[in-house]
Amino acid sequence: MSARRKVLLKVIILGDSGVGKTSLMNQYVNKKFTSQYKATIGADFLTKEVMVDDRLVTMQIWDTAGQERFQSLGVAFYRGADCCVLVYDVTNANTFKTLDSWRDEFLIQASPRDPENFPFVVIGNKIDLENRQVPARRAQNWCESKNNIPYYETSAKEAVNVDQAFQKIARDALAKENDDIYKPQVASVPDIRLDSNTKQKSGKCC
Amino acid sequence: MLDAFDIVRLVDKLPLKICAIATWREQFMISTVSTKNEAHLLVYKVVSSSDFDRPYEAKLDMTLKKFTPKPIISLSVIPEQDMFLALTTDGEFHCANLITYQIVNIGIPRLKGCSTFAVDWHRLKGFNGYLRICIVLKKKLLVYTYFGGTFTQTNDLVVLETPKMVSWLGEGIIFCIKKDLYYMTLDGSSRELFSIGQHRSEPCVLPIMRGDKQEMLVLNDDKQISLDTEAKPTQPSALVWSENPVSIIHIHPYIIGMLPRSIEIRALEQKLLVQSIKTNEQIKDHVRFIAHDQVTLVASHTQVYKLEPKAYEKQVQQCVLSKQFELALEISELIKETESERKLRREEILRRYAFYLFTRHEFEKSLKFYLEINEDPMHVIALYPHFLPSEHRQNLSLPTSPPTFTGEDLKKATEFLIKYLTQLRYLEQQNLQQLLTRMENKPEESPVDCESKKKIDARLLLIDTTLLKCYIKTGNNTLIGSLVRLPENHLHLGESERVLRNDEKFQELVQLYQTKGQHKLALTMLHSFHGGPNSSLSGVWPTIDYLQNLGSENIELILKYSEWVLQESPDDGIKIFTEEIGEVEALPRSKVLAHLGNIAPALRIQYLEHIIQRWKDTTPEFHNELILIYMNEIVNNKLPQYLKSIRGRPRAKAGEEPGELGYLRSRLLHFLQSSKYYEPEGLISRFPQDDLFEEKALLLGRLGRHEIALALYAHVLKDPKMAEEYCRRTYDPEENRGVYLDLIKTYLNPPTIKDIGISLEGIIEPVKDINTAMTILATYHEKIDTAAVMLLLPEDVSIQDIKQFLTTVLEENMVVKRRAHVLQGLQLAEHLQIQKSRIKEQAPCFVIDDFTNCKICSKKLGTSAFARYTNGDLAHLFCYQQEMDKQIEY
Repeated sequence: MSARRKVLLKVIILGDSGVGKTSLMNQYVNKKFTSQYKATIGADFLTKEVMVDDRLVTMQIWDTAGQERFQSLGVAFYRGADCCVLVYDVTNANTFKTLDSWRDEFLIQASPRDPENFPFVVIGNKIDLENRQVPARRAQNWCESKNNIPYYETSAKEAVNVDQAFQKIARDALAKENDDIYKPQVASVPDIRLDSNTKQKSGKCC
Repeated sequence: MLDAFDIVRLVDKLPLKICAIATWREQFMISTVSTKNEAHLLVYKVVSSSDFDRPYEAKLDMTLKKFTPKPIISLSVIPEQDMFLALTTDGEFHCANLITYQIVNIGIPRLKGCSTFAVDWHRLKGFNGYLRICIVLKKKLLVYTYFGGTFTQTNDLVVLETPKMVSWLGEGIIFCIKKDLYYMTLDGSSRELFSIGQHRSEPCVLPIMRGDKQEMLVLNDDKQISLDTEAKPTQPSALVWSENPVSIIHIHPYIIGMLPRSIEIRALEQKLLVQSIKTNEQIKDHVRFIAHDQVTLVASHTQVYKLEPKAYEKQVQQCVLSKQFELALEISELIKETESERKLRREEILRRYAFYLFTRHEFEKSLKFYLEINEDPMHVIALYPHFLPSEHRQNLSLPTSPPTFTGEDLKKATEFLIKYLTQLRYLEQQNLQQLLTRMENKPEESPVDCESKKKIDARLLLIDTTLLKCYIKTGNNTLIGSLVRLPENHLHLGESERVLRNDEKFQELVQLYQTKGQHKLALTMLHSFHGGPNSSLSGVWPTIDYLQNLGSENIELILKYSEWVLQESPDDGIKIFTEEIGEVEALPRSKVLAHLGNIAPALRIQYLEHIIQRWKDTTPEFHNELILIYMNEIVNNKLPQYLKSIRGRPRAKAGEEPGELGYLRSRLLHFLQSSKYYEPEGLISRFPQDDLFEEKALLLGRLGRHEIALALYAHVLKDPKMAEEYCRRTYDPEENRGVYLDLIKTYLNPPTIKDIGISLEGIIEPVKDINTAMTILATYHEKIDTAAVMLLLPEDVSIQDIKQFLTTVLEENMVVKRRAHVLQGLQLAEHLQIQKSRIKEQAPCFVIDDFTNCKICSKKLGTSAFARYTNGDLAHLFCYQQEMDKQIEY
């Protein structure tokens, strides 16, 4: 049972500004939603502990600013990511079109060991709104063409499908972590913690 | 081996025997023993001299005879407190003043039997720090702390045996009993550390500062171990001296050991032997003492020498030449020069170091340094054998010819190059972004900015193009695609094209053409590959996808390259113009329609139906066009076939014919009824005169020519039901009231075939049909103007025929009349009631006198205009209005 060490998964959320990256993260971690828009500056993260197949893992979810594509976050930020979440707004076709660029830019900057199979998850957000522009079929086709990226349609506002999407993210990220035999065990774990709820529990595992 | 230090003789052939030495600032003192076993103290100052061979000399400042009655074995100077400490052979400890050279009593009592002592002197910034002394008195460690001009005993620790040596380490003390070292904290708890070694009789320790951390160097035989302030080893490996050092001192970045036959100088961090001064050969003397403050001194029993470091610049040069780059970097920090000079020097060292590392195949570290000094990527890339053209590579001035490497090494090196380029790419992109922002904010273009933009662009071009080559070399197919797809990539088109083609990465080549706007090349390529084997480029779909994303500014290209697709696979090809994508929806539709007309006319219906139904196009031309296409298709193709097939049997109802004809006609009929945007004036003349009467009726109806439309139904098609249906659809009590009357009219006074405007072989002129007219009259009498109908009725109509109609009309009129009567009565009653209450309200009288005040402002009403509330209160009209306004505001 040597693999029972504490696992920290680094998840990065990318996508154009205003697609709801922060809202998705807040809905998932804090179960809260606000309709007021506030642009994210730089990058910020929240952590959440989740069970994946009887394993307790800590997800460190990095929310990024959508305005400036990769201008302020360095290459180092993307290295060591375990899963990349690409978010678009189903009522705004342009945010869907830029997914390609977000994915390509991420892959180049992160240069993962196995870019073909690096875990991505695509989320089409804001399905609670009426003026949908991007048909689900089109998004699914795109995901299939990119080596079958899992696709979820969510509403951060009404908490539809958010938990399911992040559960998949955690699962895929963990699977990637387990594959990465070369990966140093402590690298890429920053010392800083932004919220106090995520203190390491001292409880013993059976 | 370097030449880091020179040795200069300062004091020569002293008649007395030196037994202790100490130095501070540029001064030093030696304690000697006289023939009478008394201690004389000599104080010298080191001054530079003009003599080239002996750049320094020592001037005797002071001689203190019989300073102590017994010889001194240990001296320690604390210049900041103007104090020095001495221990004599009889175990007596002395404190003396450094200015007066008098022994003073400052809190430490006369102690007899001391064996050794240690000073702990913390030079804190902006403050004198603190000073502690630990004196070994037999089996005791006495700690004295200096405060306010005197020492106070603060600790009295007991040990098992008399230690040979003590030294401070953090908040504790290291001491040596026999051959073992111990560490004791000031609360008295101690632990054994390790032995000083079998071949060592005396312990040797040295507290040093490594960076900003205090450490202790401890010798175990010839091995030197570093301990942290809690006496735990800090480094995995020990420095090994070539012999057992008697004593060591630290002069950053060196550690100097006084060995029995030599003085050995080593780099502390690299543990590297730098220089060895053979004392017995070079100075023919046996050094016994070593001391270090601002100057470094070694002394034998009769001579004193200064260890003089060579100029740091020279040392750096030597280090670089002997490829000791780490040491060179450390020494270069010591050179006194401006920050920019320092930076340049450091870069120069790193540049050589990086190259050296590269030749040793330490690619990761090498490239890290190249990145740090922001080396021109051209030079870095030139280190690799195959990324630059060889003639270009030869033109670059490299320190020496770059190494050759192959196989696994090459692969590893390329992987690190990818990391280097990715990082550099990010940095240069940031620079570019900043530059662009700066240029945007400036009113005029500055040549400097333009120049730097050119430079960054050139770098990015090189970086991206090389990155692509690296990806190809390492077989990283996914990233090849990612890079060429990036909208802001800086790939060199020709070069990237060449390498992609060589590697048969055709899909990526198409994507490259796409991001570079070379659509013609991309589309030509897609066309040439479409018939190929099953690959990502075969078939029509790659071209369709490509064309769908081009947008209206490339309409000519879209039209040109859609041609073969439409011919090869029309059903898929139409998607070029009907996909639910913003770009496709925005294409100029008339151009597309004309194009379809030329290439694949059959697709026009599909296209027009799509833009009208899905995209709600309201352009009349498209609606007209769709109607005409339907019509032509019916008249020229489908209808003649159908007529042929029924061989004179009765025809099915319009739109219910079998096969395509029925489908087309039902669509046409439906469209004529539902579309609001076609223009019937122009269309009607294009329709045939001998068929499609149902359609024609709808067009006429749209023109408002209901009589002719109805005549078509009633007399040509002989379908009264359709005529009635037509009336039901078009009747509108406001706009179109007369349509039923028109229907009756067409039965009572039928128009001629000529009036109807058709030409059909064998058609009989319409005849009067009173019966049908009467049935309609009876059914729809409430929607027909009775008086107008009466005028229409021919004189020979019997009253019997219209009795039914007239009775119903009369009855209904009576109902209307009676209802109006009742309503009239009710409204009169209501009117009277209101009058009654008005009179009642106006009846009351009231008096306004001098005492009548306004309810609101409480002033006299007087003769002003006033208002009266229903409860009898009175107020100025002005006050009342103000009050009302206020209420409205709230």
